[in-house]
Amino acid sequence: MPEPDPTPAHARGRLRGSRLSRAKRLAVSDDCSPDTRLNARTGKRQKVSGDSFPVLAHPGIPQSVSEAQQHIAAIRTEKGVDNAGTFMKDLGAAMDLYDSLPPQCFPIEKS
Amino acid sequence: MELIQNSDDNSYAEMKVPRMTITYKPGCLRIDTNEIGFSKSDVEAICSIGQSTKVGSKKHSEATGEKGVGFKSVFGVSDRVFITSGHYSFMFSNTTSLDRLAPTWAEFPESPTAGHTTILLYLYPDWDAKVAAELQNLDATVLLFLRQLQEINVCISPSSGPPISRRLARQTCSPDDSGLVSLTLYPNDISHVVYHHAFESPVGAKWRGQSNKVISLAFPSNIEYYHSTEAPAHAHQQVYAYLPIRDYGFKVITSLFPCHVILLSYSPPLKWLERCTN
Repeated sequence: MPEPDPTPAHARGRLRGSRLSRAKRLAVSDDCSPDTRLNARTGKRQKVSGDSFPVLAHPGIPQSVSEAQQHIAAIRTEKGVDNAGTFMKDLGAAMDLYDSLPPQCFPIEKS
Repeated sequence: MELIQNSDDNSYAEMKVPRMTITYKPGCLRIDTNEIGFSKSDVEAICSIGQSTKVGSKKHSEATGEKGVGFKSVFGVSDRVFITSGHYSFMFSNTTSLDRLAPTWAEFPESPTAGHTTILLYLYPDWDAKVAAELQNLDATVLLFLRQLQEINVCISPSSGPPISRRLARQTCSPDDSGLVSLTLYPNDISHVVYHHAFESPVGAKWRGQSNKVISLAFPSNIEYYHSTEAPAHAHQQVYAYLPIRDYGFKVITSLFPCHVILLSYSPPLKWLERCTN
Protein backbone atom coordinates (compact mmCIF):
# COMPACT_ATOMS: atom_id res chain seq x y z
CA MET A 1 0.00 0.00 0.00
CA PRO A 2 1.53 3.35 -0.98
CA GLU A 3 2.42 5.74 1.77
CA PRO A 4 0.18 8.82 2.03
CA ASP A 5 1.50 11.93 0.36
CA PRO A 6 2.65 14.30 3.14
CA THR A 7 2.20 17.33 0.91
CA PRO A 8 -0.80 19.43 1.97
CA ALA A 9 -3.81 19.18 -0.26
CA HIS A 10 -3.57 22.79 -1.41
CA ALA A 11 0.06 22.31 -2.38
CA ARG A 12 -0.69 19.09 -4.27
CA GLY A 13 -3.34 20.84 -6.27
CA ARG A 14 -1.00 23.67 -7.07
CA LEU A 15 1.81 21.36 -8.03
CA ARG A 16 -0.25 19.18 -10.28
CA GLY A 17 -2.14 21.95 -11.97
CA SER A 18 -5.48 20.37 -11.12
CA ARG A 19 -7.03 23.48 -9.68
CA LEU A 20 -9.36 24.12 -12.55
CA SER A 21 -12.08 21.71 -11.56
CA ARG A 22 -14.51 24.59 -11.27
CA ALA A 23 -13.74 25.70 -14.76
CA LYS A 24 -14.29 22.16 -15.99
CA ARG A 25 -17.86 22.30 -14.80
CA LEU A 26 -18.56 25.41 -16.80
CA ALA A 27 -19.98 25.42 -20.27
CA VAL A 28 -20.13 28.15 -22.85
CA SER A 29 -23.59 29.48 -23.52
CA ASP A 30 -24.62 30.43 -27.00
CA ASP A 31 -27.13 33.15 -26.24
CA CYS A 32 -24.78 35.93 -27.34
CA SER A 33 -24.25 36.83 -30.92
CA PRO A 34 -20.60 36.49 -31.87
CA ASP A 35 -18.61 39.69 -32.21
CA THR A 36 -21.24 41.95 -30.66
CA ARG A 37 -22.59 42.87 -27.28
CA LEU A 38 -25.60 44.90 -26.25
CA ASN A 39 -24.83 48.47 -25.32
CA ALA A 40 -27.06 49.15 -22.36
CA ARG A 41 -27.20 52.89 -22.93
CA THR A 42 -28.01 52.94 -26.62
CA GLY A 43 -29.85 49.62 -26.79
CA LYS A 44 -27.82 48.76 -29.88
CA ARG A 45 -25.40 45.94 -30.35
CA GLN A 46 -21.78 47.00 -30.21
CA LYS A 47 -19.00 45.29 -32.10
CA VAL A 48 -16.16 43.94 -30.02
CA SER A 49 -12.72 42.90 -31.12
CA GLY A 50 -11.78 39.25 -31.39
CA ASP A 51 -13.59 36.27 -32.77
CA SER A 52 -16.35 35.78 -30.26
CA PHE A 53 -17.78 37.01 -27.02
CA PRO A 54 -18.42 33.93 -24.93
CA VAL A 55 -20.23 34.30 -21.63
CA LEU A 56 -19.91 31.22 -19.51
CA ALA A 57 -23.09 29.64 -18.25
CA HIS A 58 -22.67 29.68 -14.50
CA PRO A 59 -25.16 30.51 -11.78
CA GLY A 60 -22.98 33.35 -10.54
CA ILE A 61 -22.37 35.00 -13.90
CA PRO A 62 -25.15 37.26 -15.26
CA GLN A 63 -26.41 36.01 -18.57
CA SER A 64 -27.73 39.33 -19.83
CA VAL A 65 -26.91 43.02 -19.61
CA SER A 66 -30.17 43.75 -17.80
CA GLU A 67 -29.34 41.16 -15.12
CA ALA A 68 -25.89 42.73 -14.68
CA GLN A 69 -27.40 46.22 -14.50
CA GLN A 70 -29.89 45.15 -11.87
CA HIS A 71 -27.09 43.65 -9.85
CA ILE A 72 -25.03 46.85 -9.97
CA ALA A 73 -28.10 48.86 -8.96
CA ALA A 74 -28.67 46.51 -6.03
CA ILE A 75 -25.07 46.95 -4.88
CA ARG A 76 -25.40 50.72 -5.03
CA THR A 77 -28.49 50.54 -2.87
CA GLU A 78 -26.87 48.12 -0.45
CA LYS A 79 -23.73 50.25 -0.26
CA GLY A 80 -25.69 53.17 0.94
CA VAL A 81 -26.14 55.44 -2.02
CA ASP A 82 -29.73 55.64 -0.79
CA ASN A 83 -28.91 54.71 2.77
CA ALA A 84 -26.14 56.62 4.51
CA GLY A 85 -26.34 54.40 7.57
CA THR A 86 -25.23 51.31 5.68
CA PHE A 87 -22.40 53.17 4.07
CA MET A 88 -21.09 54.51 7.33
CA LYS A 89 -21.15 50.99 8.74
CA ASP A 90 -19.05 49.77 5.80
CA LEU A 91 -16.66 52.66 6.14
CA GLY A 92 -16.19 52.01 9.83
CA ALA A 93 -15.48 48.32 9.16
CA ALA A 94 -12.94 49.31 6.53
CA MET A 95 -11.11 51.63 8.88
CA ASP A 96 -11.05 48.98 11.61
CA LEU A 97 -9.64 46.44 9.19
CA TYR A 98 -6.92 48.78 8.00
CA ASP A 99 -5.88 49.54 11.54
CA SER A 100 -5.72 45.84 12.39
CA LEU A 101 -3.40 44.87 9.54
CA PRO A 102 0.21 44.18 10.59
CA PRO A 103 3.02 46.24 9.07
CA GLN A 104 4.28 43.33 6.97
CA CYS A 105 1.10 43.58 4.90
CA PHE A 106 2.40 46.87 3.58
CA PRO A 107 5.44 46.62 1.31
CA ILE A 108 5.44 50.38 1.43
CA GLU A 109 5.57 51.59 4.99
CA LYS A 110 2.18 52.03 6.60
CA SER A 111 1.60 55.69 7.19
CA MET B 1 1.45 43.86 -8.35
CA GLU B 2 -2.05 43.91 -6.92
CA LEU B 3 -3.60 43.48 -10.33
CA ILE B 4 -1.19 40.65 -11.15
CA GLN B 5 -2.20 38.98 -7.91
CA ASN B 6 -5.88 39.36 -8.73
CA SER B 7 -5.30 37.89 -12.17
CA ASP B 8 -3.56 34.92 -10.62
CA ASP B 9 -6.56 34.33 -8.36
CA ASN B 10 -9.05 34.41 -11.23
CA SER B 11 -10.72 31.32 -12.62
CA TYR B 12 -9.68 30.29 -16.09
CA ALA B 13 -11.27 27.91 -18.53
CA GLU B 14 -9.34 24.70 -18.80
CA MET B 15 -8.53 25.09 -22.45
CA LYS B 16 -6.99 28.53 -22.04
CA VAL B 17 -3.48 29.50 -21.06
CA PRO B 18 -3.96 31.98 -18.19
CA ARG B 19 -2.75 35.20 -19.72
CA MET B 20 -2.66 38.86 -18.82
CA THR B 21 -1.96 41.81 -21.09
CA ILE B 22 -0.89 45.11 -19.59
CA THR B 23 -1.09 48.08 -21.93
CA TYR B 24 0.23 51.48 -21.00
CA LYS B 25 -0.20 54.72 -22.83
CA PRO B 26 0.26 58.14 -21.26
CA GLY B 27 -2.44 58.64 -18.69
CA CYS B 28 -3.93 55.15 -19.04
CA LEU B 29 -3.22 51.64 -17.88
CA ARG B 30 -5.27 48.79 -19.30
CA ILE B 31 -5.29 45.20 -18.07
CA ASP B 32 -6.87 42.37 -20.05
CA THR B 33 -7.14 38.85 -18.66
CA ASN B 34 -8.68 35.85 -20.37
CA GLU B 35 -10.46 34.61 -17.25
CA ILE B 36 -13.97 33.16 -17.31
CA GLY B 37 -15.54 36.47 -16.27
CA PHE B 38 -16.89 38.19 -13.18
CA SER B 39 -19.52 36.43 -11.17
CA LYS B 40 -21.89 38.41 -8.97
CA SER B 41 -19.84 37.53 -5.91
CA ASP B 42 -16.67 38.78 -7.61
CA VAL B 43 -18.30 42.14 -8.25
CA GLU B 44 -19.59 42.31 -4.69
CA ALA B 45 -16.11 41.52 -3.40
CA ILE B 46 -14.42 44.40 -5.17
CA CYS B 47 -17.18 46.68 -3.92
CA SER B 48 -16.54 45.63 -0.33
CA ILE B 49 -13.80 45.38 2.22
CA GLY B 50 -13.38 42.22 4.26
CA GLN B 51 -15.70 40.30 1.96
CA SER B 52 -13.43 38.72 -0.59
CA THR B 53 -14.82 35.80 -2.55
CA LYS B 54 -11.59 34.06 -1.64
CA VAL B 55 -12.44 33.93 2.06
CA GLY B 56 -14.21 30.82 3.27
CA SER B 57 -14.16 29.10 -0.07
CA LYS B 58 -12.23 26.02 -1.02
CA LYS B 59 -10.32 28.33 -3.27
CA HIS B 60 -9.41 30.43 -0.27
CA SER B 61 -6.56 28.28 0.97
CA GLU B 62 -5.04 28.45 -2.50
CA ALA B 63 -5.70 32.09 -3.27
CA THR B 64 -3.02 34.72 -2.96
CA GLY B 65 -5.10 37.57 -1.64
CA GLU B 66 -7.88 37.97 0.81
CA LYS B 67 -10.05 40.46 2.65
CA GLY B 68 -11.17 42.20 -0.52
CA VAL B 69 -8.75 44.97 0.33
CA GLY B 70 -6.35 44.80 -2.56
CA PHE B 71 -8.38 46.14 -5.42
CA LYS B 72 -8.91 49.41 -3.61
CA SER B 73 -5.19 50.07 -3.91
CA VAL B 74 -5.79 51.09 -7.54
CA PHE B 75 -7.23 54.33 -6.19
CA GLY B 76 -3.76 55.23 -5.04
CA VAL B 77 -2.72 55.73 -8.65
CA SER B 78 -6.00 56.28 -10.45
CA ASP B 79 -8.99 58.55 -10.17
CA ARG B 80 -11.31 56.55 -12.44
CA VAL B 81 -11.47 52.80 -12.97
CA PHE B 82 -13.59 51.17 -15.67
CA ILE B 83 -14.29 47.45 -15.70
CA THR B 84 -15.91 45.29 -18.31
CA SER B 85 -16.41 41.56 -17.87
CA GLY B 86 -19.05 39.47 -19.57
CA HIS B 87 -22.24 41.53 -19.51
CA TYR B 88 -20.91 43.81 -16.78
CA SER B 89 -19.69 47.28 -17.63
CA PHE B 90 -19.21 49.69 -14.74
CA MET B 91 -16.85 52.19 -13.19
CA PHE B 92 -15.58 53.52 -9.89
CA SER B 93 -14.26 57.00 -9.28
CA ASN B 94 -11.99 58.26 -6.56
CA THR B 95 -14.05 61.36 -5.87
CA THR B 96 -15.42 60.24 -2.53
CA SER B 97 -15.17 57.17 -0.32
CA LEU B 98 -18.62 56.15 -1.46
CA ASP B 99 -17.64 56.29 -5.12
CA ARG B 100 -14.84 53.82 -4.42
CA LEU B 101 -17.30 51.27 -3.08
CA ALA B 102 -20.45 51.87 -5.10
CA PRO B 103 -20.09 51.08 -8.80
CA THR B 104 -21.76 53.12 -11.48
CA TRP B 105 -22.98 51.49 -14.66
CA ALA B 106 -20.91 52.94 -17.49
CA GLU B 107 -20.01 52.19 -21.04
CA PHE B 108 -16.42 51.02 -21.37
CA PRO B 109 -14.43 53.88 -22.93
CA GLU B 110 -12.40 51.68 -25.27
CA SER B 111 -13.15 48.70 -27.42
CA PRO B 112 -13.41 45.67 -25.13
CA THR B 113 -11.54 42.50 -25.99
CA ALA B 114 -13.75 39.51 -26.66
CA GLY B 115 -13.86 36.95 -23.89
CA HIS B 116 -11.70 39.01 -21.55
CA THR B 117 -12.11 40.89 -18.33
CA THR B 118 -10.70 44.35 -18.90
CA ILE B 119 -9.79 47.01 -16.36
CA LEU B 120 -8.90 50.52 -17.45
CA LEU B 121 -7.23 52.93 -15.04
CA TYR B 122 -6.93 56.65 -15.69
CA LEU B 123 -3.70 57.49 -13.93
CA TYR B 124 -2.89 60.48 -11.79
CA PRO B 125 -0.30 62.65 -13.58
CA ASP B 126 2.28 62.20 -10.83
CA TRP B 127 1.98 58.40 -11.11
CA ASP B 128 2.08 58.24 -14.88
CA ALA B 129 5.84 58.06 -15.31
CA LYS B 130 6.28 55.79 -12.29
CA VAL B 131 3.84 53.23 -13.65
CA ALA B 132 5.55 53.28 -17.05
CA ALA B 133 8.97 52.80 -15.43
CA GLU B 134 7.73 49.95 -13.27
CA LEU B 135 6.31 48.18 -16.30
CA GLN B 136 9.57 48.55 -18.16
CA ASN B 137 11.39 46.93 -15.27
CA LEU B 138 8.89 44.11 -14.81
CA ASP B 139 10.88 40.89 -14.79
CA ALA B 140 9.80 37.37 -15.67
CA THR B 141 10.66 36.23 -12.16
CA VAL B 142 7.41 37.86 -11.07
CA LEU B 143 5.79 34.74 -12.51
CA LEU B 144 8.03 32.35 -10.62
CA PHE B 145 5.76 31.53 -7.71
CA LEU B 146 2.37 32.37 -9.13
CA ARG B 147 -0.14 29.55 -9.24
CA GLN B 148 -2.02 30.01 -12.48
CA LEU B 149 -0.85 32.92 -14.56
CA GLN B 150 1.46 31.67 -17.30
CA GLU B 151 2.03 34.72 -19.41
CA ILE B 152 2.14 38.49 -19.09
CA ASN B 153 2.30 40.65 -22.18
CA VAL B 154 3.46 44.19 -21.61
CA CYS B 155 2.83 46.89 -24.22
CA ILE B 156 4.16 50.35 -23.51
CA SER B 157 3.48 53.34 -25.73
CA PRO B 158 5.53 56.13 -24.18
CA SER B 159 4.83 59.75 -24.92
CA SER B 160 8.10 59.88 -26.81
CA GLY B 161 10.00 57.08 -28.46
CA PRO B 162 8.94 53.85 -30.07
CA PRO B 163 6.45 51.50 -28.42
CA ILE B 164 7.84 48.63 -26.40
CA SER B 165 6.35 45.15 -26.32
CA ARG B 166 7.53 42.40 -24.03
CA ARG B 167 6.29 38.90 -23.37
CA LEU B 168 6.99 37.34 -20.01
CA ALA B 169 6.12 33.69 -19.73
CA ARG B 170 6.85 30.61 -17.76
CA GLN B 171 6.68 26.97 -18.62
CA THR B 172 6.11 24.56 -15.80
CA CYS B 173 7.07 20.92 -15.96
CA SER B 174 5.10 18.40 -13.96
CA PRO B 175 6.66 17.55 -10.64
CA ASP B 176 8.54 14.31 -10.41
CA ASP B 177 8.46 12.00 -7.42
CA SER B 178 11.06 14.06 -5.60
CA GLY B 179 8.70 16.99 -5.36
CA LEU B 180 10.87 19.16 -7.56
CA VAL B 181 9.26 21.37 -10.14
CA SER B 182 11.10 22.84 -13.06
CA LEU B 183 10.16 26.27 -14.28
CA THR B 184 11.50 28.01 -17.33
CA LEU B 185 11.08 31.73 -17.48
CA TYR B 186 11.11 33.64 -20.73
CA PRO B 187 12.41 35.79 -22.29
CA ASN B 188 15.53 35.31 -20.21
CA ASP B 189 15.28 31.55 -20.68
CA ILE B 190 16.48 30.83 -17.19
CA SER B 191 15.41 27.49 -15.80
CA HIS B 192 14.65 27.17 -12.14
CA VAL B 193 14.27 24.11 -10.02
CA VAL B 194 11.65 24.72 -7.36
CA TYR B 195 11.58 22.59 -4.25
CA HIS B 196 8.47 22.68 -2.09
CA HIS B 197 8.89 21.85 1.57
CA ALA B 198 5.79 21.21 3.65
CA PHE B 199 6.01 21.55 7.41
CA GLU B 200 3.92 22.01 10.49
CA SER B 201 3.87 25.50 11.90
CA PRO B 202 6.45 25.68 14.69
CA VAL B 203 4.36 28.11 16.65
CA GLY B 204 1.06 26.30 16.23
CA ALA B 205 -0.39 29.28 14.50
CA LYS B 206 -3.00 28.67 11.88
CA TRP B 207 -3.37 30.69 8.77
CA ARG B 208 -6.54 30.33 6.76
CA GLY B 209 -7.47 27.47 9.08
CA GLN B 210 -4.40 25.44 8.28
CA SER B 211 -1.41 24.71 10.41
CA ASN B 212 0.52 23.15 7.53
CA LYS B 213 2.77 25.52 5.65
CA VAL B 214 4.86 25.26 2.55
CA ILE B 215 8.12 27.00 1.87
CA SER B 216 9.34 26.86 -1.69
CA LEU B 217 12.89 27.46 -2.77
CA ALA B 218 13.83 28.21 -6.35
CA PHE B 219 17.30 27.66 -7.72
CA PRO B 220 18.41 28.90 -11.12
CA SER B 221 19.59 25.73 -12.84
CA ASN B 222 21.10 26.83 -16.11
CA ILE B 223 23.96 24.66 -17.18
CA GLU B 224 26.47 27.53 -17.15
CA TYR B 225 26.15 27.67 -13.39
CA TYR B 226 27.51 24.17 -13.13
CA HIS B 227 30.52 24.86 -15.33
CA SER B 228 31.32 28.29 -14.00
CA THR B 229 34.60 28.61 -12.15
CA GLU B 230 33.62 31.93 -10.66
CA ALA B 231 32.33 32.23 -7.17
CA PRO B 232 28.58 31.98 -7.02
CA ALA B 233 26.64 35.16 -6.62
CA HIS B 234 25.73 35.86 -3.04
CA ALA B 235 23.43 38.72 -3.72
CA HIS B 236 20.40 39.14 -1.55
CA GLN B 237 17.25 37.77 -3.08
CA GLN B 238 13.69 38.87 -2.77
CA VAL B 239 11.33 37.06 -0.46
CA TYR B 240 8.10 36.17 -2.16
CA ALA B 241 4.59 35.62 -0.95
CA TYR B 242 3.58 34.49 -4.42
CA LEU B 243 4.81 37.89 -5.59
CA PRO B 244 8.02 39.66 -4.56
CA ILE B 245 7.58 41.25 -1.17
CA ARG B 246 10.91 42.67 -0.14
CA ASP B 247 14.57 41.91 0.42
CA TYR B 248 14.96 40.51 3.92
CA GLY B 249 18.67 39.87 3.41
CA PHE B 250 18.52 36.16 2.62
CA LYS B 251 21.47 35.04 0.59
CA VAL B 252 22.39 31.54 -0.49
CA ILE B 253 20.66 28.71 1.28
CA THR B 254 23.01 25.74 1.64
CA SER B 255 23.62 25.96 -2.04
CA LEU B 256 25.97 27.41 -4.57
CA PHE B 257 23.15 29.18 -6.22
CA PRO B 258 21.23 32.30 -5.40
CA CYS B 259 17.73 31.44 -4.52
CA HIS B 260 14.30 32.84 -4.19
CA VAL B 261 12.27 32.14 -1.12
CA ILE B 262 8.53 32.01 -1.03
CA LEU B 263 6.51 32.12 2.12
CA LEU B 264 3.10 30.68 1.56
CA SER B 265 2.17 31.97 4.95
CA TYR B 266 2.93 35.05 6.90
CA SER B 267 2.92 32.93 10.04
CA PRO B 268 6.47 31.52 10.23
CA PRO B 269 8.48 34.04 12.21
CA LEU B 270 11.27 35.49 10.15
CA LYS B 271 13.77 34.71 12.92
CA TRP B 272 12.79 31.07 12.68
CA LEU B 273 13.10 31.10 8.92
CA GLU B 274 16.47 32.76 9.19
CA ARG B 275 17.66 30.00 11.52
CA CYS B 276 16.43 27.36 9.08
CA THR B 277 18.22 28.89 6.18
CA ASN B 278 21.56 29.69 7.73
